[in-house]
Amino acid sequence: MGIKKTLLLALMTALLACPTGPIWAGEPAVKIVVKTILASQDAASVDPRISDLTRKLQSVFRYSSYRFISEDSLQLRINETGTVSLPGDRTLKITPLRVTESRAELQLLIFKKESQIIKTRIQVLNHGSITVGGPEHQGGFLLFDIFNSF
Amino acid sequence: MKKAYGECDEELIGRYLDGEISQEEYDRIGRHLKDCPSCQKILRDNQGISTVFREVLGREVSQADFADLETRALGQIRQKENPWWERISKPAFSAKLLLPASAIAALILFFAIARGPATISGPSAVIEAFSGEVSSVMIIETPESRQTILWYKESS
Repeated sequence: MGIKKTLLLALMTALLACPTGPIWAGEPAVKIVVKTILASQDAASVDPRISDLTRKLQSVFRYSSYRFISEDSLQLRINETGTVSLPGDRTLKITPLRVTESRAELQLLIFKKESQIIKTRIQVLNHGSITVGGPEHQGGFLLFDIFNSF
Repeated sequence: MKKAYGECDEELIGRYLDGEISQEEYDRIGRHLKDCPSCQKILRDNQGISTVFREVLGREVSQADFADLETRALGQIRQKENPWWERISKPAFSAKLLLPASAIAALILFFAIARGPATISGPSAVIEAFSGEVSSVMIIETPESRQTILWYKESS
């Protein structure tokens, strides 16, 4: 196939993709990644897997140790709920409610055993995250970094 | 009858029959034919062949569908002369348009396929609603990275 034909096909593909955003666009799916971290005053240590997040947290918190506990990934469509198990019989339920140009609106529910502890609705930047923290666990405090992209 | 109009010339008689000679030659051959039985025979033979040929040709022509033939022939000619990509690309790929069109196509593809991280400034997250069985709650934003932190203390 000659260069002209290749460029022509690229142009036609681009024009077809243009009105709908991504070529594969349909109902948007939101990718969620939840990292669970335990912050404490134990011996200073920072896990390289969470070094970026730790740097941000250290600007407001004075914990000496940030221990990476787990990571969970979800691929959720609008109004689809995903569940992540958290330490201490806790559960996080995430539901993308809608997607705007730059942010995803998410509903977060955190349960401890059967009891709902918090319910919140947030708008998170695309390729951004919110950090939810505070529950005490094993002498430290749990932090859940909830990242999204769409 | 370049030889001489008194001699026989089969080729010239053929042209006489087809009307491909001047009026002067026509008259001369006509005069020669009156006195020449062999040329008369040649003329009759040629006329016979011509008649048969016209009849056969006329019959074949009357049965032919020229409109359909013309359409198909023209279609094949156009297809060979001008394939679809050339018909589209000729105006699109003139020297002046080729580079800008390629650049625009590349940009459109880039933004359509690779939607990178948002560059919009603002906090990483905005909390629109909150409720819960908690004893305290704080919303914190880190100074430079503007990371939003929701910090709560569970009720004991």
